[in-house]
This record gives sequence, structure tokens and C-alpha cells, in this order.
Amino acid sequence: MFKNRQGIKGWFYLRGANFERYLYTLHRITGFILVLYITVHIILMGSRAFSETAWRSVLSFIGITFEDSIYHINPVVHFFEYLLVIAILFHAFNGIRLILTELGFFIGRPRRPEYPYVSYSIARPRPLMIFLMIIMFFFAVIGIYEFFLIH
Amino acid sequence: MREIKFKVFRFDPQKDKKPYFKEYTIPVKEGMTVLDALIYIKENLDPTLSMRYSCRMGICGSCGMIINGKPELACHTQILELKSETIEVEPTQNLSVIKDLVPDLRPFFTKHRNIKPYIIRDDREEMEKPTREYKQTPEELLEFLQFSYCIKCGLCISLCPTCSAYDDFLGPFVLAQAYRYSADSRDSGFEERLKAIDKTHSITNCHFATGCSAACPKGVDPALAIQFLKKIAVAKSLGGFKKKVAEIAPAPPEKGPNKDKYPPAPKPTV
Repeated sequence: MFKNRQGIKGWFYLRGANFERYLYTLHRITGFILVLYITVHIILMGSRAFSETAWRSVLSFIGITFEDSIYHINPVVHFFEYLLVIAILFHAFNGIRLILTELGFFIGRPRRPEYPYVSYSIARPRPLMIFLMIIMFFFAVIGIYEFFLIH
Repeated sequence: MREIKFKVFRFDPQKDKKPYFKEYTIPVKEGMTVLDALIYIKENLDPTLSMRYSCRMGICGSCGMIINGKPELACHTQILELKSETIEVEPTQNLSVIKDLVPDLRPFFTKHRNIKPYIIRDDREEMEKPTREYKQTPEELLEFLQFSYCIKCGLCISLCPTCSAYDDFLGPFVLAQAYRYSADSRDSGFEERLKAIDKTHSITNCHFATGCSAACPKGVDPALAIQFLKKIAVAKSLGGFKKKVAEIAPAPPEKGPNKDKYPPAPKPTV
């Protein structure tokens, strides 16, 4: 027998997929990014506990220099920091949608299926999803102002 | 009459080490389904091609396959409606392939059997030798009717990302059936069923990707059932799950003017 299972690759198999399926994949990717970020963040920030030189070398390693009592950040690192904020925003707001729908809210009631079939578990939570994505977009715009226009 | 190219997934475990695609060009006329085309190939071009089919009208769920990247029933897919000069046909994903387009559904049928897909009641004697029918309102029927239309074609499995990653995940249609029987007002076996469901890769591993609902050819909406199953499982763990189990319908009156109007109880079918 040929094993036709895709394994982890199946998370990223999006041929013929619906929009929520794309959100699932993005949620996975941003989740891994966050786990990776938090691990690295804790390790790097932990260097403060050793000495000031260790802390300074860590700062220069992540592209931050301290000159004339002002912190200067490498613009590329700054841009990636903004992308991280986008990842956090997406993961948080999509997470709210998932918590609500997975506990049976906003997905309606079962009904008699009539042709052409409509999948209500997809159609019903769409307004919630759009609402949360608009809020996410709003925060992302504030992020642009905060990251690139003020500082 | 148009000529359309079919790229069909081929794999013979006795000959091939790896699967490959074989091309066939067949004449297509209006009204022809993908299953008709596969039967045409088997009868006229290549008798070694294997596929599974039975009713040819979207009832039996045997001919579920991936057609141009989308999970569909072959008997329910019109070739000309696909609007494509080349049609790619593959077996359902995330299941082993026995030969060509025949997937092995046995693991999922075993899982289906394990979740006890039947009415479980405390009054076993009444179940074995029924005296009357159980009371059920149309509203109570609607709670599970949608999920009882499942034909177990396995198409939901092919778009489920959890099924692709974890071997022991019960799968969309199995969990939907677990909810179908748990939501039935005549059933009181949710606790018993929960023992089979509550495993490492279980309902909490469904992350609501909704691929199963998008793939379902019968409008069963397995994702909806799984979310409701999560809801009642959470309610149960918090002690808030209460269910009023349907009683037996009252016996007809022995006296009075209407006593002859009540039909006798139907004979047991099992």
C-alpha cells in the first residue's frame, strides 16, 4: 500500500482550500514564530543578569547601539520588529475567533441541509472574522505610526 | 463531442515502487461525469485501472476522489462544468492507497466503530424488545438530522490538516458521528462515547480549519458538529452538561371513544 499521508506538509497544502483554511496555516506559522521569538527573547534579555558588558554585546548583536544616551536601532531589525507585531496581532485576533467558535458561539445551529449546500460553520462566523480582522488592521496602522513615524 | 485529457493517478503495489500519472484522452459529451469517464477508460482504454464505485448517484460515498485538486464525488462532478482541458484525478489524501484510485478507509471505519455510533440507553431491555416508540419533537430531530446525512465517503479527511499530521486523530466524520448520536434526544451514552473520544489527539486537536466542511459533498458540516462536541465536552467537565433523555411514548388508552384510533406499535426491525 502507498501511504498517501502528507504529514506536517498537509498544514501547508492549500490547493482548493477555503479562506479559513488559509487562516489556519497563518495561525500555525505565526504560532511557531511567537514560540521561537519568546524563547530567543528570554535568553537574550536574561543576559542582563550577568553583566553590563554582556547586555551591551547582546544589544549590539540584535542591532541596537547606545550612543549619546540614545538607543539607535538598525532599520532592518526595526522593520522585522514591526512584522513581529503583525504576527502577534494576527495570532491574537484569530485566536479570539477560534476560542469563540470552538466553544460553539457565532456558528449558529444545525439545520436541514438543502441543495445547494452551504457550510454554515464557515458562513456564520464570517462577520466575526471580518470584524476582528478590521480591528487587527486598525492596530497594524497604529503600529506603522508608532514604529516608523514617531521614532 | 469534445476530447479531454485525463491525468489519472496510478499505483499497483505489486509492480510499482512509486505512484505516477498516466494520461488518457477520451471523448466527452454533455452530461458525462468524471466517474463515467473513468468507466470509459476501464472499458475501452485500460482495463487495469481500479476505482471504487457503486450507486453512481452520490448516495453510497464510494467514489470520493481528488478532482483537479478539489475533493469531490466522481459521480457527482460533471466534466464540462470543470471547464478544464486537462483533468487530474487522484485518490483521497491522508489515506493509504490500495491500488490506483482506491483508498483504504478501514482505519477510519475502525475509529467509527470505536465511538459507538448507535443509540445507547440505560433501559437495555426496552431497547432489545421495544413496546412503544421514543418521543422526539421535530426541534430535537433538527439537532442531529444534518449530521445523520453523512455517507462516510472520507473526503473530509483529505482536507483536514490534523488528519495529515496525526495518525491517531479520529477524523472529521467520526467525530461528527459521535456528536450526532450524543445530540440525539433518545441517547444517554455520551459518557461512554467520551471514553473513546478523549485521547491524546482528539477533539481539542481540531483547530477549526473548516476544510472538512468545505469538502463535504452532502452538506453535513462536520466542523459544526465537532465544535458542538467540544462545547458539550467542556460543559461536561465543568459539570454543566444536563440532558433530558426521551421517554417512551405513552400507551394508547384502553377506554374512551379514541381508543381504536391509536395504531399499534411498529414491529421491531432488528
